[in-house]
Amino acid sequence: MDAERWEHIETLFERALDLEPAAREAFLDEACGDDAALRGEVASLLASYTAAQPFFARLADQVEPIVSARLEPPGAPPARIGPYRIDRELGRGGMGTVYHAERDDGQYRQQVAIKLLRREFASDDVVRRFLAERQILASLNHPNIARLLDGGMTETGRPYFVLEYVEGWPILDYCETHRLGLEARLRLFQDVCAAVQYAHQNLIVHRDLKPGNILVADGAETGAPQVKLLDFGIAKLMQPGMDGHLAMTHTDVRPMTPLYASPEQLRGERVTTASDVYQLGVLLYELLTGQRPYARFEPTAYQIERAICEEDPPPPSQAVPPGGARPPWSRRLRGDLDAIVGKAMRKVPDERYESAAALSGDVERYLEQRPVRARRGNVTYRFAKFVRKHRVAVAAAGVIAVLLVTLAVLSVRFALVTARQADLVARERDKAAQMASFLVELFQVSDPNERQGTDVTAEELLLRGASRIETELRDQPETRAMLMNVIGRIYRQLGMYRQSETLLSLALDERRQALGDWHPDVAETQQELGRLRRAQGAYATAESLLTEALAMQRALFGERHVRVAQTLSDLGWVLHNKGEAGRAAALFNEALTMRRELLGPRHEDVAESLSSMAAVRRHQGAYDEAEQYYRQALAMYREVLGPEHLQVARALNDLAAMLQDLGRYDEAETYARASLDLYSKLFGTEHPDVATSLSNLAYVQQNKGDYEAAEQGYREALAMRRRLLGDDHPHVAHSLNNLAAVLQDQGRFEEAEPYAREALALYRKVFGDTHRLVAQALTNLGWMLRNRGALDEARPLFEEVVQIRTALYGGRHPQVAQGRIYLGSLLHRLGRWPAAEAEFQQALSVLADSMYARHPLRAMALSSFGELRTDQGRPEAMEMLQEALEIREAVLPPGHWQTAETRSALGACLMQQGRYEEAEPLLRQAVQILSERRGARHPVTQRALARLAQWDAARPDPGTPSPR
Amino acid sequence: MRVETPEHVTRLLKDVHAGDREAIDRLLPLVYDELRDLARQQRYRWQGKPALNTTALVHEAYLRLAGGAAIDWQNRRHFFRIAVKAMRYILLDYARAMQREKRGGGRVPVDLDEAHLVSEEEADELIALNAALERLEAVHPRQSQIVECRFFGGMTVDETAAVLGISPATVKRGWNVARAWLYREIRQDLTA
Repeated sequence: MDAERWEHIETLFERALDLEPAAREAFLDEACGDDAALRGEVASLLASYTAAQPFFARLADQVEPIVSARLEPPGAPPARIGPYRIDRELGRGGMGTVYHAERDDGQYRQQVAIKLLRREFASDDVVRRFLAERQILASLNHPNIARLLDGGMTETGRPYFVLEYVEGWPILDYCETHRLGLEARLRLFQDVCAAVQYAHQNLIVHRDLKPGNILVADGAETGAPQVKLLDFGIAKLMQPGMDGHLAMTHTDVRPMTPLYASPEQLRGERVTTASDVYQLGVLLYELLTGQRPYARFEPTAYQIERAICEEDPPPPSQAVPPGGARPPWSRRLRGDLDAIVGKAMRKVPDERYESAAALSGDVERYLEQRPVRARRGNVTYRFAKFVRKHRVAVAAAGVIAVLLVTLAVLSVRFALVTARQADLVARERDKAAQMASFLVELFQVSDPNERQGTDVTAEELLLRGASRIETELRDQPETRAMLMNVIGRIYRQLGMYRQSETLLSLALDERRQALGDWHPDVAETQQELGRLRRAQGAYATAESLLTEALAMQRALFGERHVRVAQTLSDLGWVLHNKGEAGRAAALFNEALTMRRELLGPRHEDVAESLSSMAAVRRHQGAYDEAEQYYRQALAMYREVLGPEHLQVARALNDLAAMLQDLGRYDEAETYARASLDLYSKLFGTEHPDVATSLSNLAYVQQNKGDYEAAEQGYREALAMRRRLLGDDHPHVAHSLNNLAAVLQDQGRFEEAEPYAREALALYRKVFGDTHRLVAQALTNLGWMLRNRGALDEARPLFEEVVQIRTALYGGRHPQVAQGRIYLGSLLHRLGRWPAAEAEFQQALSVLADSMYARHPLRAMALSSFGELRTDQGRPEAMEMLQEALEIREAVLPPGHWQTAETRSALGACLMQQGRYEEAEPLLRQAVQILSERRGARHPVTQRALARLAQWDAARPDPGTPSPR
Repeated sequence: MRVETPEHVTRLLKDVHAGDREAIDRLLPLVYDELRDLARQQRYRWQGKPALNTTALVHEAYLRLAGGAAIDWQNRRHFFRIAVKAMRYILLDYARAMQREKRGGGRVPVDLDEAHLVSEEEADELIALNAALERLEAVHPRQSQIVECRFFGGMTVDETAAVLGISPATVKRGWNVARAWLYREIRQDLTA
């Protein structure tokens, strides 16, 4: 059906609709003529129209309940609600008012509490859901839970709950007035746990456990205190409608009071039975100490919320109540009870007791003076705490994931076995058990309670782990290999490559021996080793290891698999490092697509793929696209991993390097600093990534003209890299190269040259002759030679640069343009003007894209070409130099030597046209700045001085001093 | 943590106005996320009207995303068109989740407030509605926009007319015929 026919149908439909149903037939007969299809279509639409209206109304009605109801001021208490006669008001809360009432509809008499909800809860949906859930809640039949008896709607449309009326004290008041001792309090607490456990087994979560919701009555028959929990399930039921207005923040779905809320409730995250366990922990805290755990933060809502999410409360034994009078048992809290409360109140739900019953069980153990579980080694907790304490181990966070995932996978494997596989399973189970106990012991020692005073460092821990693998797991090669793989990986992430290499090579050998060459675990270790080789700069080995791992994984897991994506990405990086941008981009793109499909649009791995795309696009010169990718990656990492994560530091660094390429130095410096700060925070002062970050910041400083800071940064980075990576690492060459460049920027050519030559030799050794870094080193050395007057020696170097870059990137790349500008400028000085002109022309044609309109590189081309044009006596020189100056003044920081260089050139050009007065200030400023920045001996300063001398000699009236 | 700033959203809206298709693609997920969050929070306030009264929600999402930035009516119109589309996807997601639940999984102890919001039949109907709307969109995009505004956006005829820049009479006519057409399609789908 096309749009025109649709229009026609629509018109006929509408006109027929306006007619009496009886008249429609005749109308259609006439309007449609012999177009039977048309008639059929309109008639069928008319037929469905009648049913369509109620259908859409019902669908809409039932589908998405949204609109906020209006707040209504509380009125006078109603005389009756349903069959209940209201007696008196018992209290008021956030949700509504509670009345004491009596059922007196002639059936039977019963005292009840009625909770009448506020107006804003009175939406159809709440009521409908309430009616649906009422049955579940009413089925909670436990001596410690106040029964939900009934519920419904008042005549004015307000929902109400009818609850068992409990005469009693809130639990804390009861304990105080009855002067209960420690044991009695703990027994009461166990009753509360039992009620909560019962509800959890019936799939109901309380979410609002607090002393005010827990009443204690003196038992009628036994005289023993009787605990009754109120409002079970109601908080959860009512929660989402709590706020009466459309709020502006995301913090709407939250408990009535933050005082007893769990961290996940405050964060608006999923609330589970673990939240009730947390609230039980808070209750226990208050029962034991007479105050709430975060009492000192209570004055402001914000502070307490922050504290609940971020701070550990003082252990109950250390809590000092407001009056300063500690309960008589406060000394007995130390140790077991501190630990029990602590475990119940862990920030991370999974680290708490797994159930209310487990919590109660530990209290029981305490009462029976048996060892409590809370003090036994909780590996996950200790490991997590260790990681938190040692920021260096952010890298190791990956390891936790690996270990936990491995354990999880193993347990899943158990579940999936057939009898035939029993043998295999037994081995897997042994492996898991060995690994678990290995870790337990490893981390037990890092528990500060067991090892007073100093904390273990990550290195110590790893060393201990590695040596124990040797001694204790001698007979379990598979477990050994698994752990060596994991620890080898941490070593790499910590930059300890030699240690990593030892373990990974061993792991690979052992796995091959045990499993054969063709096995997922072998692929895993090969991949790990490939990553290490890349980090070490051995790209050819890295490539072959990863290619093999990739082939194996594709065969074992299929073409589309997260591990395949990961290896594609790893391999892409190796190719990128080797300078094979095209192949790298293809692999990165494949990985990105695969990850988006497999993992969804927002995932750590997707962010990794985005930043790898950015890196390769940047090196291909597609800066706009690269910037987009980098910013997306940065935002995604922050979103997914939080603001203080290694990946965020890397992303900041990458973005800085990119902005630096674009000449946006101030932005670049900001990001570079942020990155370095974060790296140092995560790794301390000594780490390969810290060196890189340091070096990148220095590079920005160098480009801004802050040479001293830059030189210092480069020297620090060089020393650190030699220490950490050895003398033959490409990163050492980077540092040598950088240092040479910044020395020569300061006119210290003799000092610079040996560094430049060493860097070039090292690059050639590592990468071969056709590599972007070889070109970079050639450029630096070329300038050094040129600046000390060895122009003929410099020429083949620049020619090689252009040749290498053209081979790598094709002719139309800014890097090629840069090489041509340098070459052109050199040819100009050598007196080979036509050749020079050709180079400049080609460079400018590459830079003609609007993207480069204000790029420092274009300014450089214009400035150098302008000088040549001046010498050639060509009129367009003036315009070129003016534009170059304008760009440099705008883009470079004030007082930059390159700006001064262009001023001097422009001065010369003006002088040539006889405009001496205009030329003078330019020439003088240039000399002043260049002497300061480049030193009097630098060729560029010499040239500026020569021009000023020329001006002095040639000005029309040498007798009159020119105005300053 | 959302990092998109109001400025960013404002710029995207301007780009949408300038006819940038990509900007719509970038904006839609933002709006979608915002609305889904809001919808999750506000799900329980439904009053029961013949169409979804989600206009308030859309306004709210708009205020949140645009922050204090001044946006002209032109951009606001674009925003609303995108928002109602986002609303449609939210419901669709929800319905799909319902279907998944139907196929697999039992009850979990924590989802009292997620259960029973939409019956399985309604979920099927919503999914069929979406499929039919896609077909309608192919033939007559404006009709489909009218349905999105009226049904998913809960807008009145006049509001819809203003947002789409057409006359109220056209909206009314389109709404009638589209409902009839969609109903027929949905019935065919569900009985097939």
